[in-house]
Amino acid sequence: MLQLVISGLAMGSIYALVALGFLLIYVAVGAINFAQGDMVMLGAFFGVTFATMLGWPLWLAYFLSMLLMLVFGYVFERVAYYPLRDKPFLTVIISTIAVGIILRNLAIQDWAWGPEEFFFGTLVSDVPIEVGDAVILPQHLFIIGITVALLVAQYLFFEKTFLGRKLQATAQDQEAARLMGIKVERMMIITFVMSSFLAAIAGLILAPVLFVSTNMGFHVGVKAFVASIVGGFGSMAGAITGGLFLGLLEVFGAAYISSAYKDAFAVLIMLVVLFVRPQGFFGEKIQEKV
Amino acid sequence: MKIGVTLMGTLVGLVLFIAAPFLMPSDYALHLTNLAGIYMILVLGLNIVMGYAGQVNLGHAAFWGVGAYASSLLVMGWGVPFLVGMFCGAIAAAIVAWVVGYPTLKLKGHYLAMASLAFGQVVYFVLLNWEPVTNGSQGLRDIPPPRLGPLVFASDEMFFYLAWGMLIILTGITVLIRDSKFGRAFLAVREGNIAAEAMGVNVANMKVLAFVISAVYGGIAGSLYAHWSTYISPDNFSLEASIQLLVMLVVGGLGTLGGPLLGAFILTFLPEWLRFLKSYYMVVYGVLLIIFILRMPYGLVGLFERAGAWLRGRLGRAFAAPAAPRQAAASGSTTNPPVSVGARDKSP
Repeated sequence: MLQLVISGLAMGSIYALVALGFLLIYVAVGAINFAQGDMVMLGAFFGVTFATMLGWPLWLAYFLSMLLMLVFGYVFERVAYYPLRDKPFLTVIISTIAVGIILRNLAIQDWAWGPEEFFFGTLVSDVPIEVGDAVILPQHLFIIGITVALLVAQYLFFEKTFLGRKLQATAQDQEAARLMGIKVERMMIITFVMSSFLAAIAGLILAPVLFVSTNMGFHVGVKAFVASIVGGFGSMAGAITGGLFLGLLEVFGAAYISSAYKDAFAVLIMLVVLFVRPQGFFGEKIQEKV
Repeated sequence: MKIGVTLMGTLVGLVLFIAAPFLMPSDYALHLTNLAGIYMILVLGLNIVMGYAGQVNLGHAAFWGVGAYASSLLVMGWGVPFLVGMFCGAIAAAIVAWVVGYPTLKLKGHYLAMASLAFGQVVYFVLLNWEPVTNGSQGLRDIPPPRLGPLVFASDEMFFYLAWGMLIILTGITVLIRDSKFGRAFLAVREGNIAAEAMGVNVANMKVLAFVISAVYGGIAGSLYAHWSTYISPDNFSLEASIQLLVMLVVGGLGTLGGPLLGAFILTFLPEWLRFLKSYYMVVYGVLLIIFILRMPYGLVGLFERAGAWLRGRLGRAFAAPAAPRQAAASGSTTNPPVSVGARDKSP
């Protein structure tokens, strides 16, 4: 039981992190970033390159791949969002789709990482801990710990720092923020960089649990979508609860019903949510203004 | 005279249509042309709900899948004729759209986008997990080819007539819908919910209607696809397929008639044209997509309109200039882009 809860929460944390990445960009730009899952893959692959292929220490691999992903976030904003900033939101969606396609297909090239699956070591011990009859992987605890720490840090950043408040203001109303002297352009870059950073961390802490391959991003991305929809797209509480909920649901569904039907279980929930509360647990009903 | 021209045009068109499969440079080109025909039907349908009624749909492939499975299962299991199968496939897709449409279309803008994405996933997972009926990830094999009385559309040549014939009929129906009072109501809904409501348009019903019509197109395309390829699996109708359809529509031009046709056709062939790039062809495809969307946010149709206006402006000047300077000035007005029929895409 404890074992299931822990591994469910760990998977859920990953979904929540990826969902938060979606959320950051969605709130700021109003478009869905379809490349978020592929950014998770990229972060994990950077880690694999430094740690598994070059044999450098893990902490250095973590550090370097986060750094590279910060750079990637910047480039991503400049290339795929900035030129489209006043175009309809569908065009931004298409450009993120294109970025996802490019990333997946570059990663699978022979000079890059190819179609194989890669192993990635864990920062913590890989000896399972036994608590009573439960067997717990330290990496799962690590994932949960990192996620909680990130969430707290993010909350403090948005609520307590000046920069965080400027970001919030920009997300609420770009025009008004600009009139208040906020450099909207810079805020957008920060948003994309943050979201890319979240993707890097999600990729790095997920990598030891799952093997790293070019497809991992898309799968995690889809799951995170589902999680954010169930939780309520556009709200932080929604992304977190949706992620954790989906993670627990999958693990318990696989354990008590059948592993073949674990997705079906998630679908059932999604159907119910779609019919009863299509805006998700935490989504607000928006009244349209004339 | 006028009638004569129209008659000649129709005749030439008919001859071209009949000759087309035999004019193809290769069997593979014909195969892709057929595939393009199916995509064009799908995107034509998607355009009704997204382009005309302005409701984002990120799960259109679900209707494709419902139509494909419903039609195949009926024909294989109960031995009904192909036409009945196709009809039932379209009806099944329409019913699904109606059931799902009511709760989700109450949502606005981005919530709707999310809900439609979720709905697409739901259908995908149902196809994947309802094994007794759909055979799960194995998919359905040996689906019989389309049959109409004595005609069997098994070969690519024969199927071309069926798919493109259907496409032509559906394009005509699209024009009729666009110009009907429903089409105008869809546009009103797109341009502003509250204003439309104030003018007496039942916004909720119109959205659901557009959604259902688009599903019918999807169902028909699904049935055609299933009986043509003889093998379907849930992966054909996943989120990736929905995204592909969306890309085709936006690249072609949202809210126009030519846009969906052009976008679907070109993007079916584009990967093949890029084949010579070997393993890089998808990378280049992605890069082209970005460049494209940066340069032409209003799609290929928008580009052609601008090119046409520019050309007419140039021609107008060339003819008018030597004759009378005053006329040249007047012809300058043609350089303004023409007002497009379906209006440009407003972000929904």
